[in-house]
Amino acid sequence: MVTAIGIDPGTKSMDVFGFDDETDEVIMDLAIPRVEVTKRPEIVLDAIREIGREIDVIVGPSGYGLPMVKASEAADAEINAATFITKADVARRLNIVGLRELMFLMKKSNLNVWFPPGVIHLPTVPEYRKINKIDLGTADKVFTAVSGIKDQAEKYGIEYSETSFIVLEIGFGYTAAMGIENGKIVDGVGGTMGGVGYMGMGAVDGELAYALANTVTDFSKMMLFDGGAAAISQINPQQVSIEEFVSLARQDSEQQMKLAYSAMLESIIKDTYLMLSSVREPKEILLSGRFTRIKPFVQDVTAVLRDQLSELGIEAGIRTLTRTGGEVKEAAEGAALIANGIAGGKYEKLVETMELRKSSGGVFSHIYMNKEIRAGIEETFSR
Amino acid sequence: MTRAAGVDPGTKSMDICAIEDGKVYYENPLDNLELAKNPERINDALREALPVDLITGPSGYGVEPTRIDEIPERIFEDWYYNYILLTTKAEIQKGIADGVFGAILYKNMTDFSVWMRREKFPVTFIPGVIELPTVPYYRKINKLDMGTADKLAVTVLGVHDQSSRLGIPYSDVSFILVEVGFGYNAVMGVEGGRIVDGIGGTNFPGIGYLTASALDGELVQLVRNWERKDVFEGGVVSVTGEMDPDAFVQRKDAKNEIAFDAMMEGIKKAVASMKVSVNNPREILLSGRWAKQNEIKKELITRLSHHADVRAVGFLEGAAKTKETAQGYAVIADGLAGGEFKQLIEWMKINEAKGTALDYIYHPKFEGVPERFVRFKG
Repeated sequence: MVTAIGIDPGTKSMDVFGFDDETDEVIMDLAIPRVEVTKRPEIVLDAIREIGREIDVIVGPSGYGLPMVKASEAADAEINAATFITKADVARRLNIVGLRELMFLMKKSNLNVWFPPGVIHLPTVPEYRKINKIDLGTADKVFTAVSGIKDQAEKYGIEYSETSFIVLEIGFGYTAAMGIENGKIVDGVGGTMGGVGYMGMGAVDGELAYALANTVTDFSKMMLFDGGAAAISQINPQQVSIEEFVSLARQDSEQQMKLAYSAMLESIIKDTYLMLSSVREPKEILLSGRFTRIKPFVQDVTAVLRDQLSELGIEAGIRTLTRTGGEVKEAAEGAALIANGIAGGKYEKLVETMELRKSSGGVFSHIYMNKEIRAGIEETFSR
Repeated sequence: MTRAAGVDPGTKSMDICAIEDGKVYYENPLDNLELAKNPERINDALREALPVDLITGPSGYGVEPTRIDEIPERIFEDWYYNYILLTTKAEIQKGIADGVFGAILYKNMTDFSVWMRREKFPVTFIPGVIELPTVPYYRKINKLDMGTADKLAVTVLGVHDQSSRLGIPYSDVSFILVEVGFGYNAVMGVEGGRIVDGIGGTNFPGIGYLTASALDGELVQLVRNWERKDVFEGGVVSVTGEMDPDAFVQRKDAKNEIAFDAMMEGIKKAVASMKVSVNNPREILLSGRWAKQNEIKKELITRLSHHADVRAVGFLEGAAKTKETAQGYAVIADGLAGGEFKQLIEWMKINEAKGTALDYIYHPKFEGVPERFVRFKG
C-alpha cells in the first residue's frame, strides 16, 4: 500500500491531491488560493500534516522543473533556477516567490518530498526541439501528461507504452500543448511559446522583444501574464470570471471579446497542429485546465478541432481529461500519480515508461545565444 | 507600355529587378558585402534600369502603399528608420559603432532611400502581410512580422506563377509558400488567390539560419537587453558555432545534425499550423536562397509532400539572376503603376493595405513605443 500526495501550482490556486493506492481512497483534495500561499507558504505543509496520515511520497511543485530529485538533495542553485526571477520581482513578491520559499521549506522538512522535471529535462524530447527554449511545458504540465497517459490506458485497456495523444492545457494564465507517443512526452509548447492564452500572450515576436526591451526599464515576469485574451478584451481578469468572459465573447455585441476569443481558439488549433508534426496519428486530443470546466467553451473547441482534423483525415477522439478529485485540477492528480510511482506503488510502471527518472540538464541548458549572455543568465538566476 | 522596377533588400544581397510589360529587362543582384564597401553602387545600378513609371523601394517590415513624396523630406530619414526598419537612427548609429554588419546594411538602405527621395524618383513603399485587409484581424494580434514586404512580394509572384502555370483564375489559386532565406524563414498562406495568414521570420516556430525566430517569453524576460543585432542571432549559426553552409547541409557533426533537424522541423511545424488557415492547398511553393540548395530542397519535399505537391516558385519571364522576392517587388510596382499585373494587385488587395506593422500590439508594455517615432502620415 502506498499513500501519495501531489501538488500542482496553478495560476489561481495551489492544488493538493492525495490517494491511497490500495483502496483508491482520496485522502486530500484541496485547492488553496495562490495569494494565500504567497503570503504564508508554510500553509501547504501545515495542511498536509493536518490530515494526520503517514505519507510515503509527496511530489511538490517545482516551477520550471529540475531533474527528478529528492527535495532534501536539491541544490539551492537548482531551486533558484527552477523559480528564476529578478530582484525587482522578488521585492514585488510575485506568486513565484511564495513557490520558491515553499520549495526551500520542503527541502528542509522531514517529509519525503520530490521535485519533478519539466518537459525540457526529459530525455524523450529530442535536443533539436529544445533549442532556445525554457518553457516546453513546466513541471505542472508534465503532471497533466501523466494524468492523460493513465486516463487513456485505463479507458482503452492498453499498456502505458501504447498511449498516444495530444493534450491541451487551457489554463487561467496560459495555454500549453504536449505531444505524447508510446507513453512518452516527445514534444511540447509551453505557455510562453505557444499562441494567445487567456492572460499571457504566448510566444513573443522577436521584433516585439526588441521594441519592449528598448522601452521598458523594468522587465518584470508579470509581462508574461499580459497581452492575452483578457488584455485584448480590455477586461480585468481578477474581476471578470472566465465563465463570464466565455459567455460574453459568444455574444455578437461584444466585438472586442469576440476578437480575443477567436484569437484564443485559433491559437489552440495551431498549437495542436504544431504537435501533429511530432505525433502524426494521435489516438485522442485531450483537453484539460480551468477553461475546460466551462461547457460552452469545450463545445467550441471541440467543434473547431473536429472540423480541422477531419480536413486532415485524422480520426482522433476529442474529450476532456477524466478527473477524480472534486476541488483540484487534473494536474494535481498527475503529480500524485508520480509520487505513487516513486514510492513503488501501482503507478511505478507509468513513471518508468515516461522515463521521468532519467531527466537531466537545467532550465537554461538549451539556450544557444552568445556565451556571455548564457553565462550571465546562469550567474544571475542560479545564485 | 509600363516599365517598373523593384528593389529588394535581402540579408545577403540587394537585388534590382525591372520589367517592361511583364517581362524582365534588367536584373542586378548586388552583394551586401560589396555594398557595405561601396554603397553608391546601388544608385548607379538603379540609374541603369531607368526610365521607369514606378519603383517599389526597399520596404522592410512594410507600410500601406506610400509614395515617397508623401513623406516630407525633413523627416524622411527618421520616418524610414521608424516605420520601414522599426528602429531609430540612434540605435543604428550605435550598431555601426559596435561593428554590427546588419546596422551597416540598414544605414545603406536608408541612405539609398533618402537619395531616391532627393532625386524625386517615382518610388512607392509597399506593405507587409500584416497590413493586408485579406488577413483577419484576430490573426494579427501582438504580431509585428507576419511576413515582411519582401515575403509579401514573393507571395504575389507565387499567385501569378500558379495562376499562369495551371491556367486558373486568381480566385482558384491556393498554396502555402515556404521562404527559406539566408537570415530568416517565413510561411505565407494563400486561399482564393489572396494572402490570408503569415508567419514571419521573428514569429517562426523553429530556428532560421541566422535568427532564433519566435522567442520564448521566458527567454525575453530573462535576457532583458535585446539589441537590434540579437534579432539576427540564436539560429543555426549560433547552434553550430560556425558559419559554414556546407557543414550544415552535409550535417558533418552532431551540432550540425541538431541544427538541421531543428530548422527542418520548424518549417514542417509552420506549414502544419498554416493548414489551419489554408485547409487544402493545391501546392506547397518553395522560395529563397536555401530552398535552392539540393539537400535542403530534397528534405523539404520529403517532409512536406504529404500536404500537397511541393515545387519551386516559377520565375518571371526573362528572369535568371535576381531572387524571387525582387521579381515580386517588380510585379507589385508594375501592378500599382497600372501595368500587366494591375488586376493581380487589385485582386490581392495590395493597394488597399492600411497602416503599419505597429498597429496590432495589445500588450500594455508596448505603450510609449509608437510615441518614440515621428508621425506616420499627416
